[in-house]
Amino acid sequence: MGVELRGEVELHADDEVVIHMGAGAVETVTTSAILNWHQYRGIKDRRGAFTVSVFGAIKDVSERDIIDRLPQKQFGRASYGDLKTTCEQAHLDIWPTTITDTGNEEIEKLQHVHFDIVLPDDAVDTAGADNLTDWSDDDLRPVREALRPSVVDLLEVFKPRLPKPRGG
Amino acid sequence: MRLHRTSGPSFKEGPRVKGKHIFVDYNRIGYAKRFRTPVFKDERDGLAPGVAVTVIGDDVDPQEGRVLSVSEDGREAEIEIVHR
Repeated sequence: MGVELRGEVELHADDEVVIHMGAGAVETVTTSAILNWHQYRGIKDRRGAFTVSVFGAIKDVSERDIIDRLPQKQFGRASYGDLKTTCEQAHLDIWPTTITDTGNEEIEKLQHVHFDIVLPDDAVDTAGADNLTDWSDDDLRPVREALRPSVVDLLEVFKPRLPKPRGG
Repeated sequence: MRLHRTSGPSFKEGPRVKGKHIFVDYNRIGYAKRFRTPVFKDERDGLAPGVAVTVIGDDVDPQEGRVLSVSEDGREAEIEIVHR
């Protein structure tokens, strides 16, 4: 699995952005960000990045497409305008990214509308790290704590959490 | 005296999937029944082809899986979902 940066954020203020989030979203979003950190090595000259996946309901992809192709039971939506404001206030970045080699054709169909919200990592000490999955749970505890406030800020803009429609 | 079963394993359930939990990012794998995933250090001990695991992630019920392969450095595993 890899990550490629597209040219620009292809979103406008009124465009809808979708995130999947369950009851334990803060913890699992943080864990996913740590799990995938090393996949962003080399992007914007970084050693890694803590990111949160969102999808734009744009181009040929509808909100229903995004919801149906992922197994989570709940989701949240926000306008790109609101998301951008939150990102500016919370010092988050937005990267247009394509996740490659997922091995899942349905997920690949969403990658041209996939975006990563990049969490600030200035409070996170990853010195010497090549891959954070090599760290123990104890080692990762301060990383989780440092990332948590940003994740909380980010998820707030996607509230309320909505149940996946039946049949989805 | 009549004896009542009040607790204990149900034979209908069969053996429970013990053990190893593997955290996955469902945004990366979707509904895939076979996938590769990074593996945290604390999940790696004893991970080998054929080992039963419980796949966990955000807002999806735990799923029973089986390890198909593990990378040489142990950082990545290929998992097959055997029961949703």
